Amino acid sequence: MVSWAPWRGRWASLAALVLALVGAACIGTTDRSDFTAEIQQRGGGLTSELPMDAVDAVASRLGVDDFDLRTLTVTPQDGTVLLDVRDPAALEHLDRYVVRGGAVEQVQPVRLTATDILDTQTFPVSGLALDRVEDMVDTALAHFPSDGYVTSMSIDRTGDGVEIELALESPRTAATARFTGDGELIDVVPS
Amino acid sequence: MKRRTIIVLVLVGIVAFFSVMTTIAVAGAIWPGEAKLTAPLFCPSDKPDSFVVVDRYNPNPGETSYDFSLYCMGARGQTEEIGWFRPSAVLTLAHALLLVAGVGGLVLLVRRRSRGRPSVPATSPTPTVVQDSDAPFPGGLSDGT
Repeated sequence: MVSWAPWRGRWASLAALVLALVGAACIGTTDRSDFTAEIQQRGGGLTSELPMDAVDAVASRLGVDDFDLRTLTVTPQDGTVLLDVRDPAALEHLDRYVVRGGAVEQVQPVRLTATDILDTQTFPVSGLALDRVEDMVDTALAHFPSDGYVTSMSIDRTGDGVEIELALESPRTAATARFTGDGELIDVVPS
Repeated sequence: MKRRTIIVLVLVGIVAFFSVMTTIAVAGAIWPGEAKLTAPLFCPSDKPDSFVVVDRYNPNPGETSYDFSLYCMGARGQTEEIGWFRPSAVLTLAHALLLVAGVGGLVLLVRRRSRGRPSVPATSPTPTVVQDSDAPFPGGLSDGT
């Protein structure tokens, strides 16, 4: 006669193991917090790809090669690029484009105030050194603690011309690295 | 519809069902990291490192749900989200191929073994039946007279 007792024990062990694995549901996965920490450890994830793809997407939408911007903001954490774009067909209009993954997700009109003078606030996107973002990130991080990373990039026009700002963070400090529109470092200002 | 077509359709359905179930059980519960095996198909060359990122939610007290998503990451931390559907589809296809290969291999092995082993040995003696004409049941029981 066949004894089933040992097999019953083995099946029970196997079932317990499968249940434990199903309950854990984590073999080969990375927690969101660990994933974010990995991005920060590698510098924050800002490259030329995000702003250049966004500019290409907006240019394609507008049907032009060049257009004027008031601001451009890149958040590498969620891959979002915001652009305040002067409408080439109606220069008195400003539109906010939200670009994610190289595709325009949303376009909304921006309400202007009486003090907004677009001629003095906007600048052509073709004059920006967007292909030098990696160099700017390396330069900025070289002036910052070794565990620093870039959280965002913003471009706007100041009294001295177009300025590119990189927001830097580390567990113990924060700073802003300022660059010219050509990508030359102006200074790194602690926050 | 021909009988052969019906059989093929039923077999395809069975394979599809079991491969989907395998994907749900393995990639969806036991080993979600299996999706990283599909990364070479989806990750661009500048983002070669793959991660299966898990987000845990508690929709109700005592209840935990998991969302998995495949990401590709580059040396500067730049990422691209691939999602979960496309890796799952590839894994389902791979599981189907494994299933067909496994079952097919098993069937071939069994057929080869059964073909190699003769059903009746040629040297075995032919059993003889002794007839007893007095028995109430011919060729069977005898009443002893």
